Amino acid sequence: MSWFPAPSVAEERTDALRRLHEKGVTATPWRSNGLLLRLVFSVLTIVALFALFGFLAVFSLPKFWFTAAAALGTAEWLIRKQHFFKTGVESTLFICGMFALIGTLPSSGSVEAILVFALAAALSGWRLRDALFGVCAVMLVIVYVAVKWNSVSMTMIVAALCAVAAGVALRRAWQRPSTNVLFAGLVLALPVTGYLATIAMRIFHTYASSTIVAVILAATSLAMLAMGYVWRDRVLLVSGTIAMLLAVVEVQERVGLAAEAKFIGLGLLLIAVAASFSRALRDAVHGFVIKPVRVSVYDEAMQIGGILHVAPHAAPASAHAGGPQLADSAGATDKSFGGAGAGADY
Amino acid sequence: MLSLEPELVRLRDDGLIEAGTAAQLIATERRDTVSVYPDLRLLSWLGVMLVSTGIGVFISKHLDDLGPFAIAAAIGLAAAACYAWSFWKRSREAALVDDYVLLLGALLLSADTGYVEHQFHLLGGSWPQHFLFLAVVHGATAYYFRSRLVLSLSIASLAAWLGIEQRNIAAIFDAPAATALRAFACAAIVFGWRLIDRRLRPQTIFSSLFDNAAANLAFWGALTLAVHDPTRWLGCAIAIVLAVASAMHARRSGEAVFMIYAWVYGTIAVDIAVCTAISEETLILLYLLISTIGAIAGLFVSHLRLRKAAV
Repeated sequence: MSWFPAPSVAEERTDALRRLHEKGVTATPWRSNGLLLRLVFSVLTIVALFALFGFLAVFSLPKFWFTAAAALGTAEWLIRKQHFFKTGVESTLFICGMFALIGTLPSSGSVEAILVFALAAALSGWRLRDALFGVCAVMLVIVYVAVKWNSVSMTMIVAALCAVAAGVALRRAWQRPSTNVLFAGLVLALPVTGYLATIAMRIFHTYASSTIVAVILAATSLAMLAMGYVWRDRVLLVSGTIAMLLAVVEVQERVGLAAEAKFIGLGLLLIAVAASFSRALRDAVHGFVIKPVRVSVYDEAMQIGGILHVAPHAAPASAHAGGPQLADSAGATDKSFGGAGAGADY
Repeated sequence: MLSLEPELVRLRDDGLIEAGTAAQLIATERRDTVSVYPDLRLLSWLGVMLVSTGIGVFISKHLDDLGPFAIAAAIGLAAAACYAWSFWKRSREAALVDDYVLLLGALLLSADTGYVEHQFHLLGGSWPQHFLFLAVVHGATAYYFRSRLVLSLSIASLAAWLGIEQRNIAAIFDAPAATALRAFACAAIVFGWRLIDRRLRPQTIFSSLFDNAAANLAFWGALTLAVHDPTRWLGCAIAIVLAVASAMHARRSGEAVFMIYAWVYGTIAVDIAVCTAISEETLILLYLLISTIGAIAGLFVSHLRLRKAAV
């Protein structure tokens, strides 16, 4: 018996198969949840751990040690006895337990503390076979490089090289779906992480757009798009598109256009690109196609939420009370109606 | 990469999956066919959001430069062009970006209406009526084009007309208790709209959007009452009743998201009530620990039952 029980290769593949075709595929004993439910359970678990931490603090007990023991112990119990895996509960308990353990260490203020957090995330990722924690670990290493050497170009190069290496690793036939997801996550996250790290490094000084960052991003993008096209890999194509967009963002300061013209121009360009590909691929039956696939509820929720978010909301400057006159129309907020893109910010 | 081809072949050979379905899935695993449909959809959506953001920035920066008539006319024309495109495409082969051209048109119309009202004060003191106008126009457009995206704009306009002006967590704490009444009124209208829609169009695709909007509006109204001293107990009681109703709806419809609403909003309401009653910090922390563990266990078991019932 394994010291660290977890789904076997066969069980992971069976779970992946059930996501493709549930009928006729026997479920594994492991309990898992969808993304939304995992998020909810993660938030609830964090609330519970904060309450425990606060409770221990009130009695001046060693709060980090006790919280770590309770979190890690409960996580292991849930995995071993209840077969929890990717439910959101055990993963949050485990990562919070690891961070609580770090809290027991003496604080030196050293930059290397970032690596300790990266190690904790990596251990959690390995134990829970959770790609998110694995990706977080590598992201923290990129942050460490940025903080340690304070070099914009070096940070971007390391992030880009790691992303391309992960892209090449995606070509290998992996047996475990979780390993495949880890590399896919790295391919998507690292160009963004590297770029954000360079922004954070520059924002505290005189910010100037960096040609080297834009060139590295563009090169990464081209490499990803080429690999994605040849290997017919959507993840690589998406990563390449993201890297290209970031390169455009980096050089946009040098383009002598107003901000609104850049927004509108880039938006129209994206729509045109999508329309062109859609038109070019409309009769394709092999290779890249545009056959409608089921769009997940999360995709739809994200889009509807995005619309509601982008719609500005404020009252005209000269507005007087109006609209439906409910009893509270003297309230402080009832004159600043808004929504659906029709406010006076426009 | 990951290939589940061996497992799919075994399923097909055992007769557990139809040959046609298996062939499609195997082609996808082999990457003989790779659909970029979701990616191009996302790209279109991003493009629309960027254009509408750019137009918002443009209007705010050039209010005085170009003159209000030119700006209003230009945006109006752009919106009309989007609607005309969508109308023209409606009777032809659907393309991937059609939904988003329509959405862009709706967002431009919203922007233009707001701008015209801001500049010319056509409605005077009754300026919020333009939200009602937008709610009606977007609603009609949503039905004509069967667009859930545009319907969400219509509901947002309706909420704005009723005075629910903010859409973030802080709004619960900032808003006066009476704003809750507006949220309840909006939830009731949306729910009534849903019932009529369902009655008149049994094949409707809008029901879940109505359900989610009405549920969230009602819960936010209840929590707005619950965080204000004079109405705390009433708000908690309403939230708990709504949570029970949401759980019952989840069990009847099989939609897990309503079970999540029930446990999350219900737990918040109970926590507010209990924490108000005990007021001792140590006891509050102990209670929160126990109640959150209870909520996790309760949601887990409820969700498991929903899953089993669905099989």
